Amino acid sequence: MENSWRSETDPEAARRALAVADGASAAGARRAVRPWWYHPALGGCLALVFASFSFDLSTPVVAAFVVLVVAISAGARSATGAAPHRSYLSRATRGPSVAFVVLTVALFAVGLVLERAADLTGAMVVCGLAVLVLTVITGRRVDRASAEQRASRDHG
Amino acid sequence: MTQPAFDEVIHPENRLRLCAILSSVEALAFAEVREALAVSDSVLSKQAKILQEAGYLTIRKESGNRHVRVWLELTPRGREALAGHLAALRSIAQLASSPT
Repeated sequence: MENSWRSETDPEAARRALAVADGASAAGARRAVRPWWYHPALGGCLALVFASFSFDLSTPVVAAFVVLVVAISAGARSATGAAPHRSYLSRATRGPSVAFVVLTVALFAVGLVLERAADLTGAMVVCGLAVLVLTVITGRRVDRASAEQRASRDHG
Repeated sequence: MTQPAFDEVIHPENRLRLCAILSSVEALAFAEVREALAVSDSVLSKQAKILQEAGYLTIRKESGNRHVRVWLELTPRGREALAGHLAALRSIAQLASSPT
């Protein structure tokens, strides 16, 4: 197995080496998936933060949010044995990532206005549930776009 | 655009496969790499050590609840060297198909 190609200038050996590298890279990409619960868990944390504003518990929940996110990330790495690239701002993933941030901020603002100014109890809970769904959809889109981008780069 | 640079450290088959699999991720657990490459612990350890000494790879131990997990990760220098090496291989591979 070790070093089945020797020549630095043999085109056939170079092609075989490239094929082997492509195969290994694809094997790595297949392992670089997040567990199914990763995005729902992150979305759940965000939903909790939103909901905490309905129950005047925002300070402890926001503090716990950071700890929970770190724990979820560590748990995902431990479950899969892989740490995928964090490529939220690459060319392929920038669009959905920016849209996610804008929509999350907008939902937060709308929820807070409805809750506090319009006295609509539970508005932040509803907005939190919307953010949960948004997190799952965006997270999966970003993962898929990252994988496609990597595959096209590897075969480019 | 990556400059082609043939790399003798990366070129041997097992090391090329190891670098390529790690290029797809931020980090991968030792056991996952071993399984994906279908090599023994000792082969993987030896190749990883050589890449580590070249500054291409980091080996990090992480203590869990009951066991220690070893993570392998390409360094920025390792990623650069792999990209240069793959570019060099592509150049060589194209030599045969280029009209003379």
